[in-house]
Amino acid sequence: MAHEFEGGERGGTPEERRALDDLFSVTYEELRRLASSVRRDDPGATLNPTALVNEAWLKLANSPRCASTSRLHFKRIAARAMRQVLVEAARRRNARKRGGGEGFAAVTFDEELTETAACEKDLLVLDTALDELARMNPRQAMMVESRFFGGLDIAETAALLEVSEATILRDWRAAKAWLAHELRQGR
Amino acid sequence: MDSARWQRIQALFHEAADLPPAEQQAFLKTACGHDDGLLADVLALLQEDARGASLLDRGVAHVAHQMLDEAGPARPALKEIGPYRIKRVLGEGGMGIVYLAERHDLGSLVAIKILRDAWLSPARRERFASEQRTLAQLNHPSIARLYDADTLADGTPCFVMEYVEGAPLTEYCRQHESSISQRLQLFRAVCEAVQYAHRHAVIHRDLKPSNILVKGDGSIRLLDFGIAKQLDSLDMPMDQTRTGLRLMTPAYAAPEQVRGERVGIHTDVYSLGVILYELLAGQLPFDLSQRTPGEAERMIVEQEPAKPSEAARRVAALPGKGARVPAASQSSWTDLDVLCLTAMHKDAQRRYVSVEALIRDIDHYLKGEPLEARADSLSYRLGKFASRHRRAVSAAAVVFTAVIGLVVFFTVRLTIARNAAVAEAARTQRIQRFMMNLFEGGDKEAGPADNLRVVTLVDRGVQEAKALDGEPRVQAELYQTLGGIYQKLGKFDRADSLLRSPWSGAGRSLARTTPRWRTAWWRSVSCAPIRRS
Repeated sequence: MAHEFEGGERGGTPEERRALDDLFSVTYEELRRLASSVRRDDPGATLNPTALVNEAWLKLANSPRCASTSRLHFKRIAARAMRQVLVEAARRRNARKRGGGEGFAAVTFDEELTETAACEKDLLVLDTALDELARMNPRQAMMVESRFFGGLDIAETAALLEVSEATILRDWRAAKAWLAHELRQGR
Repeated sequence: MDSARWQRIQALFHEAADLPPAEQQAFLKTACGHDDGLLADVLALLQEDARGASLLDRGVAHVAHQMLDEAGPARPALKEIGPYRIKRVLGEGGMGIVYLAERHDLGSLVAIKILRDAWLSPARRERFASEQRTLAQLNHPSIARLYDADTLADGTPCFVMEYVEGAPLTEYCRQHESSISQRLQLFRAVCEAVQYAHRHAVIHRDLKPSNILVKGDGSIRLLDFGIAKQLDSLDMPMDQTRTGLRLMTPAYAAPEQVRGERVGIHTDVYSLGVILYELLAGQLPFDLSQRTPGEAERMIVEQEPAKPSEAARRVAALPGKGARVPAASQSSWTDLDVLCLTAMHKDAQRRYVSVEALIRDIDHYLKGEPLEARADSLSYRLGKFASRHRRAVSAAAVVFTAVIGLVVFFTVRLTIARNAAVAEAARTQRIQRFMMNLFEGGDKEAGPADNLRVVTLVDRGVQEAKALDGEPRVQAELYQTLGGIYQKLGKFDRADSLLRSPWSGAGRSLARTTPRWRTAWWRSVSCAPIRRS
């Protein structure tokens, strides 16, 4: 998975790119913090990434970093950050299960393996598949990422990608079917 | 798969999907021709589309719930981090957990601090590590060494630090019932360590007694240098009102920190001021314990603290609390109040400009010298000087008074003498003019006549003298003298009229005090006819 923005999105001056990277980092960290605080306040609560992204926007919207960022653009960045947060978590669990260390940063937890294994696997396969989709059709990959991880609705996604809602619906159906197939293959 | 093929698969997929399921097979067979791979791909998509039960359909919430489970409260106990084996929890605070750990290979003990709720994005982790390596360069006997810092696999920053056994500063002073100067000496050592870090462009941002340990040998160690910065930069985008209070210990946080403004050297100066306050007064400047974060914030930003001296008096009055407060004289308290309140001024511009300036004033205080913070008051400085050099000052005062007395005495004498000289010079001048007029007889062009009788001269003198109404003293003197000449010339009636004139008495007394010019005049008058004849 790409950590930062590439291709067309990496355009602009070095300062703009740095600002974007910075915003991405901050969003990533904020999402993690929010997720953690939700769980601490109510261990049984369901983590809804869409709600987390919205809450992150409420927190970050007034900070100087977001001064020149629209809500839509922020959600797009947050979607990518959320993808990374989740994929990292899946990788970590996976690595731990295999008993592998990560050098200095290796952490050993007393932890029972749970039934989340399937979820982990799916997430990692989805991550790879999305990267491949980005090569086949960058717009569709961005669409899936924004809708699935960032919770953008059809109208928002259409506005973000500057296409009609009908196009989004069509793309979504095809991309979803292809990704579902990849997920099945990956099992 | 390349883009073109994907395009083709999608086109067929959409076309087929619009058809009734029964017709899809036949349509695709025709459309794909001999490309069995293409047919299989499109059919697979159609199958998935009909099933609609993939991860993407279930939604991300389910995934997130499973993946981020470990962030919950029942986080399993940490057993080891890198080469360190966790032995026990040393402390747990709002910021994170500190563990005592032992290095596998060396057996050495370290403290490992793990920040709670602070994750670094992968992009930031390397930068974090390099910043921490800079911090590890801080090498000062009073600063706990930072051996290493990194992020755990999930991006949680952790710090491996020197393990220090000791008591927090305030605790130590309470236990040892330290005197004011002992407390100031310890505090000074803290300031020196902070100043050292400032010289290396490192700001602590979270100075508080629990971060300052006093070891058994009385030396101090500052913990957590630079950690707050990391936290702060992580938390900056959070809603600003909560930022300061969430991360900093609010009691020691400067107003600008609470307001989420730029922090700097002045922030540490403020926190040092609060620590000094607590050391001196036995309590914090603001009691925030029963306050909501909003109230606490307002107090820090707006409320002026009571003077440490007043707070100390109040604490001393509490039953059983007297031992918490060190004793000091009233004049010491005045300086300590200034020292403390200057360091913790609400306006960063009006605090000590640096920790160095604060140290200077502590030294001034310890030596009994005037504080720089009180430089504006001359009487204060003099008072300070006098109390410092009591004997020398009283000796100096005697000498000074004597010198002043002599100076005044001689100045007065000189003034009198000078005034007299000036007056006499004026009189001499007047007499000279009188003499000239006497001989000229009012006719400057003609000049003095060749044969003048003495009595004519004296008559003329009397006329001249009568015109001197503006100078009664000179006039009286002249009457006296001219009257004397008339007597010698035998003109007693004229002599009488002059000597009995209203001014003659005064003239006589004046004549006694100024005999010289009269004699000179008389001599010149009596000589004049002789020379001329």
